[in-house]
This record gives sequence, structure tokens and C-alpha cells, in this order.
Amino acid sequence: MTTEPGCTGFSRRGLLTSAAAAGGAGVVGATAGFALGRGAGSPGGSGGDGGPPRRDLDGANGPQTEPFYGTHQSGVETPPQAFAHFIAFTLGPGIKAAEAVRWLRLLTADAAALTQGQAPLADSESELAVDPARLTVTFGFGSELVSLAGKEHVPDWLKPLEAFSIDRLDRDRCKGDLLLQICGDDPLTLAHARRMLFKDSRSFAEVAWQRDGFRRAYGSAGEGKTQRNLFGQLDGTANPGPGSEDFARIIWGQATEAANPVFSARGEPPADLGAHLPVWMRGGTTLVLRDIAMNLDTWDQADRPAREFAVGRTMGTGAPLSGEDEFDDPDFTAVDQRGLTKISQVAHIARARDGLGPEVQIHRRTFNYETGAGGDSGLLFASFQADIERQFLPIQRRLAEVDLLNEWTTPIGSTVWAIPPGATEDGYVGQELFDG
Amino acid sequence: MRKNITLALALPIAVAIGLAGCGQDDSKATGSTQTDGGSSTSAESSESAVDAEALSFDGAWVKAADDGMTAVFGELKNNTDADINLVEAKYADAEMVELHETVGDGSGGMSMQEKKGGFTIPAGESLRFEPGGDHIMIMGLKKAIKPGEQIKLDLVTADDETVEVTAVAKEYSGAQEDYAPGEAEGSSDDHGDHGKHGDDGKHTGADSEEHENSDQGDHGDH
Repeated sequence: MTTEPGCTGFSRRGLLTSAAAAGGAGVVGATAGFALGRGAGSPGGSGGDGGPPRRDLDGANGPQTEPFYGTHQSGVETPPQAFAHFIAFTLGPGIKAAEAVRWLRLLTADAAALTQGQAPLADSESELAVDPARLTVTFGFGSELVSLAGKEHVPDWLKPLEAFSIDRLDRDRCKGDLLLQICGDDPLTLAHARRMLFKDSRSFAEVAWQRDGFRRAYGSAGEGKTQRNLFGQLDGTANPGPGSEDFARIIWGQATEAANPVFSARGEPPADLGAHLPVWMRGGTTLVLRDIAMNLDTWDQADRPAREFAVGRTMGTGAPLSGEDEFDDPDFTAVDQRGLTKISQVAHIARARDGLGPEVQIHRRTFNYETGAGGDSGLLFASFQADIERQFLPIQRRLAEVDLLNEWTTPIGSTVWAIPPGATEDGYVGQELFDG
Repeated sequence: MRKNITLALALPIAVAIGLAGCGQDDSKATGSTQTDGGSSTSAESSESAVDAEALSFDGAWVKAADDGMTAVFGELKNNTDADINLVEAKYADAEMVELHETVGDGSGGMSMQEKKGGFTIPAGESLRFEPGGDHIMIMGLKKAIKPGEQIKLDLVTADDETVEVTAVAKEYSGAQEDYAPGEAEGSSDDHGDHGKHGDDGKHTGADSEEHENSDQGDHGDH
């Protein structure tokens, strides 16, 4: 799959590479240096010369960092990491704006250090901070936290979503005043970061709920591949690409200054989707976080044709049933020999997008979860969009109405968050709100 | 990212007239870093980098506490080519501040005692204050130091120069001050010879339980 076509024979370099990977440098001796040296630039990839895929033996991903300070918070447009911890806090009694600012300053300083591979102050296990592996910490604010700066700052959409008929919500998973989305490619680093941020928080808040999610491990599938959920489906094919004009408009709610912007087949999204965001959120976005239980036992009872019919895509390539490739635009009018549409009108992708305009798009940054064999399993559906009313709700309402996938999925948690802009280097996340 | 705390301390000709205090978050460097001459031989370079950062206190933090005692940690760096002798630290909202050193007791515990004559930071070197090691001890807090708060201390050198530093408060359950029974916290009369101070980080879980129950000086948990 990763070897180049027509390169099936052994090459001397490929053989050396293979031997180095299999036996380690000590076994191969002097030749290993040559082989590993070549591989240093492309860890984990195939040789490119016909050799088998190599393993990264150098820990190349450990030192990788994502920026912390900047216009936007990381962890939104950032290509999803392998692991995520979502942890929501409820403000403790007596917490007012001054305390909230102290808390946010502590969290900001420690998140900034941790994401750059540096131990925060008072870190008793500082060695655990040294391999950030693309660690990001993303802050989300709930209405109670925002209202500490003044009730007039709370946007009207920052409240629980309307009730949907498909919901079976656990109230304990629908609360929280501050959310930390901690993502990274290394679970040990992640555990330490969460511990440090938790210790920063104990004086100010209680944990409301938490949930851990995962995707493919770093190095398993290559960068930029659509993830698969526990149903085996490719999940997130329709996402706008990071760095694209679509992403800027759909998630950050503002157009870039790009001269000739390119848009997806969905068409050109409006440039003003963020116009309704309060001033303190400029550079930020909104997050709807849905905890969607997935019933793997009943899914097992559905055979492949039924699964593909329900989704509207093939399980293998993720191509729409009207096309050949994952990224082919679905043709909801294409018919088969019997004259029936190839994609059912009640299939998931038809309900999620057929007939909806280019503004009705979201960025789903999902993570799978399961609590052990026979335990809970599902999807942490993190949906980022500039405008919940114009972008998220039209999709959610239609899916709640009819969607074949609802047979196997049940929303059990639902929270809505304001994602503030990124912090400046001398500031803290939320400064525009509390000092603005 | 935390920023250095930069002290203006003109050495070896000690005419420190200001400082830049900057905590780990957003407080701006407000102090002057101007020094008057210093070791510079050039009249034009009266603000040379060496003079401006004669002494820096990186990563300064203090263990949050409601009352009683606490300690300040961080890395004090001598950026000059002459030794600096730190002889005293002052904190306005406490009855007493001492410079403490620690000595291992051979079983994972650390005894601490006042450092007679203060700490000498050799030219170009650093002194690290850390839990279980040397630290600045604050006793008899007059008001709580809350997590996230920034406190200001004055550091005094043997040349009688005073420099202000800032430390951010963090909740921390190590660095427990385990005074001998009968010795009230904050009673400043006999701190010069107080007994053993436990360092929770070096003890077993059972030990730390014991400390939490018996130690009135522990205010790490809020």
C-alpha cells in the first residue's frame, strides 16, 4: 500500500533498511548507520525506494509541538492528535471574576509550558513534560464562567441545545462552566498534563465530568487520513481542510485575505458567519460537544449492505454510494438499475447535507471512546462552527428527525462552549472577556 | 510561557535603582532596568545587558497557604562576573522570612535550618530554590496567599541592595513544613534552631498522611 508501483524487487538500500528496523543498530552494526541515517528525515514512512515501511526508532514525534499563543487557540484547526481528554469543571462556591482570572492565568501559564515541552512551575514530575508530542490544550467557556465578567457578555446561544427526540441525555454529562480539551499523540504526556491542570483547578472548581477519546496512534495511518470510528466508518470526510478558506469562514467565521479563494463543491460559505460572536470572542469559535453512545452489539447484527445503506457510503473506501472515491461529491440524484437513488434519502449523508446550503457546514473533530469489553462505547463528537444556529442546528434537527444511523446511536451528553481566541504571550485565555 | 523575573542590580558597583518584576502571566515589566554605570567602562552603554540582568529569578513560585508558613522557590541566577551574597528576604505580609538550607538525614527526609550568612551565588552561576532543597521560608503569614496570586518579595544582598521579585502562588502539597511538637508555627523566637522539616515528596504515602493530620502548617489543600 505504501510501496511505489513497479518497485517490487529488493534494492540494497531497502534490504539494509529492513535489516536495521528488524534487528536494531547493534545487530546490523556499521551498515545500520547508513540505513537509519537515510530514514531520519521520514520517520515511519516507507523507504520510497521499494523497501518495506520503516519504524520510527528515534522518537521523532516526541519533540513535536503545536503553537500555544496566537490568534486562535490550537486544538481546533490542528490536525487531530491520537488521544484526547475532555474534562469539564463546575465553578466552586464563592468564585467571582478575580478568582476566575487567577485560575485562567494559572491554566494558561501551565498549558503554555506543557504544550511546548516544558515543565510548569511546581511540577513534581517534570520529566513527564519533556515529550509534548503535539500536545494542545483548548479552553471552552460555559455561561456561568462568562457571566462572572458580566451577564451582558453571555451570548444567547451559550446554553444547552434544544431537546431532540433522539436524546437520552445524562444530566451529569450536560454541565460544566469550563472545558479543557487536552489532545496529544502521547498518552503519558497527556496524563501528566491533565494532572497538572487538574491541580491548578482544585482550588477553584470541581470536575463535572470527563471522558477520554482516541483515534489512530501516531504513525499508524499517516497524516491527514480520515479517522474511523468504532462502527468502522470513515468519520469526518466532509470536513473543511485545515488552512483552507472554507475553514476560516466556517469555523473562525471570517474570510481570509486570500486573493483567489478555493471552495469545496458545497459552494462558497458566507464570509460573515462569525458576525454574531461577541467582541471578546473574535478569533474564537463555538463548540458543540455531543457524547454519542454507539451500540456495537446491535451494529453487529447489521450486515455490510445494511450498514452502507444506512450511512450512504461504502465501509471500505468511504466513497459515497454514487461514487468511487472517499472525496467524491455525493450525487443524491444518481439512480441504480431499478431506478432508485443510489444514496437513500434517509441515509446519514443525505440527511446531513442534501439540499443544505454552503453555510450549513461544521468541522467535526471526533474521538472514539470505550470503557472496556462489553462496556460503554461511542464517539466524542466535537463540532466546531462559527454559528450554532445557522450551521450546527440545521443538520442536527434533520438528523434527529430521520437518520437511519439513529438506530444504533444515542446522544447521552451534550454541552455548548464558547471557544475564546488564543492568548497573547503576556496574557491569558479569556483576557478579552475579563479585562476587555 | 513563564517569563524571567529580571532584577536590576548594578554590580559590582552596587547602585541598583529599579527592577523589572514579571510573573509567569501577564504582568508587565514595570520597573526600570537602568543602572548607573555598573561595570561598564563605556559611557554610552549604561544599559548593557549584563547590568540590566545582574540577578534574575526564573520560574519563581510560592506554595499557596491560608496562614502559617510557606516557602518560595525558583532559580536565582547571578549574571555578573562577581559573586553575589544573598543575606535576607523580606515579605510584607508575614512576621518573618528566613533563607533555609536543607541537609539529608540519610533516610529520605531532609532537615532544614537557617542558612547562616545567607547564600553566595558565584559569578555566572545559579542557585536553585526547590522543594526538598534550599528555599526562602515565610513564617507567620498575616494574610492568605491564594493560588494564582502574585506576591512580591524583597531580596537583600550583603551590599545592602534590595531587589523586588515576584512569585506566583500554586497549590502544592509537597514542601510540607513539619515543625517539632510544641513549636508553634510563626513563633519567630526560636526559628534559628527549629527541628526537622519533613519533605513530603521524599516520604511514603503513609508518612504524608501522618503529616497532613498532624501538621498545622500544611495549608496546601483548599
